[in-house]
Amino acid sequence: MNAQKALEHWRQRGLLTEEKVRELEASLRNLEEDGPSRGIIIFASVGAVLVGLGILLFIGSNWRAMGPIPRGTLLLAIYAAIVAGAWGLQRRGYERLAEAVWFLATLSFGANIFFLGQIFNFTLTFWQGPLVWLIGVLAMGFARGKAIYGHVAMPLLLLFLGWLGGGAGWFTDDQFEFLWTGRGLLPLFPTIGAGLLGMALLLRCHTSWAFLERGTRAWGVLLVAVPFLVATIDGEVVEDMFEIAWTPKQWALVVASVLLVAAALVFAGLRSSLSRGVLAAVAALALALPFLGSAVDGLGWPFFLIVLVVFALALATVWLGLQASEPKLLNVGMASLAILILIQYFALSAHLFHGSLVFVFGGLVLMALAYFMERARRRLLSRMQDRSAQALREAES
Amino acid sequence: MSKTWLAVGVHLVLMVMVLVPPLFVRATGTTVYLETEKMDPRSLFRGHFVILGYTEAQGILSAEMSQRSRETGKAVYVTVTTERPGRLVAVGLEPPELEDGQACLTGRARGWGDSVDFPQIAQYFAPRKEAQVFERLRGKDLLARIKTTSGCNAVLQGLEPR
Repeated sequence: MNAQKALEHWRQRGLLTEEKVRELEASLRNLEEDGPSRGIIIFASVGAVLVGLGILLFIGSNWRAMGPIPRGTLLLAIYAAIVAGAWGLQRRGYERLAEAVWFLATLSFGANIFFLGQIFNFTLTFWQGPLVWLIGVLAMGFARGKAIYGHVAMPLLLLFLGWLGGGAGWFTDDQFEFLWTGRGLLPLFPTIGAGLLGMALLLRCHTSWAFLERGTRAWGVLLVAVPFLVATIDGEVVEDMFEIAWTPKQWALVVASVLLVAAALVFAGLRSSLSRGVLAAVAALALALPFLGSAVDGLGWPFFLIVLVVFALALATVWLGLQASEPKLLNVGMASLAILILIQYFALSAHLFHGSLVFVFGGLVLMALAYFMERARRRLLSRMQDRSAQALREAES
Repeated sequence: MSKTWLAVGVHLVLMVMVLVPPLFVRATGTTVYLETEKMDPRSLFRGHFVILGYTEAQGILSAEMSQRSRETGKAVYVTVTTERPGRLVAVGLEPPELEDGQACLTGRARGWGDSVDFPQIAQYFAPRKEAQVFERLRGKDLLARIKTTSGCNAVLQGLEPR
């Protein structure tokens, strides 16, 4: 039954008034109009990125003959031309295309920062670059209020934090040092992720900065879930990942993350004790792992304790997604559970079975897991929809 | 729309802020020529480059100075002559009082060793083929042309044969 027939059915049965039917029909029309407009925004944004990259690559490969001042002037002129284009499109009413070109202006601004760095041979781990770009992204995001700026801001924040006071920056490897050493961000990724989740919850209450919420939440989930799941592979992995040098920067990040989580627990208006508990448990495990790192050896009991806590957190996330009717949270929880079970199967079976049997049973486990997970996910999503429909009926009555 | 123009203003101010300090050093600094050292060629975001170490900065730190610099994170100040190529005059953990014919550079202790790196002038960006030529020439045959201020801030202007 399509939506129009359903509305008519409820109207005839007296469950919806004429006025409410008109209201719901208007809402559906807006939704239908929103589909193509999202397509326009996506195509325009991808186009903006391609145009921007093309222009900058062309300039970058053809400006050897120019001195620093002409190069700087050219970069500013390109930025000005893009801004003028965005303004012109907006004045003529091409709102969605204008939005993409404003986004292109922000990308062009970031590229200009690094081109200026190149003109003057700035140091390799030029941490000021991501910081300046981040400030520009936040300024334009605040003005335009679009979530895409939040998604761009988070990796820039991580790059800035990673390069700040990081490796010597002489060689290519040093640029990524923060991703794989105990002096960088690696042991603190879950802690930073918990801090970002806290920030996302706080941002819900502030409409001016709400554009950051989705990006902050997505990056927070990624930074928490991936290291937690990887840590369940083996005790030695925990030791390698979470061995930490405790530099002043790392302490500062821990303090900032703890403050964000604490502020979220107090001020973010979390209604259920489960959501508060999950956030606090995520932060506690993230903080504990760098301290536990050296104590966790092989497959001993401290390692199994970590696996159990991660498993409990994944289950709690599923339950939280169901309670809050958040399909994304539910999907994250289900995916985490599936990955966790697979990791444990392969980690344990390698010790117990012959090599070929591991693959045979592994394949069967994978298929069975996929089947049960999909069934459970569908059941939970349908229960969520039923609950939404019931809430709608209650609101009507 | 006023918020958007404010954001554009922030962008412009930030770009100018990145542009002005190195231009100021280039315009007002003293020229120094230094012999070059080790190299390695690629940068995230900014393409091909040549990594530069400097002969006059090798093996110049005492063990005590090196340890203090590492522990406190303090910069190392290297004083050189302004002749071509420049020669080491002194190294210390405080900004030097410069005499005529002298210039200074801000650096930091390299790892656990006794050498100094100069982050401000450690990279030179060039197209791939040009960067490869510079890598072959490195050392005594390749001089870095540097502008440096009395506050020891430096900008790398170019590389040239001895």
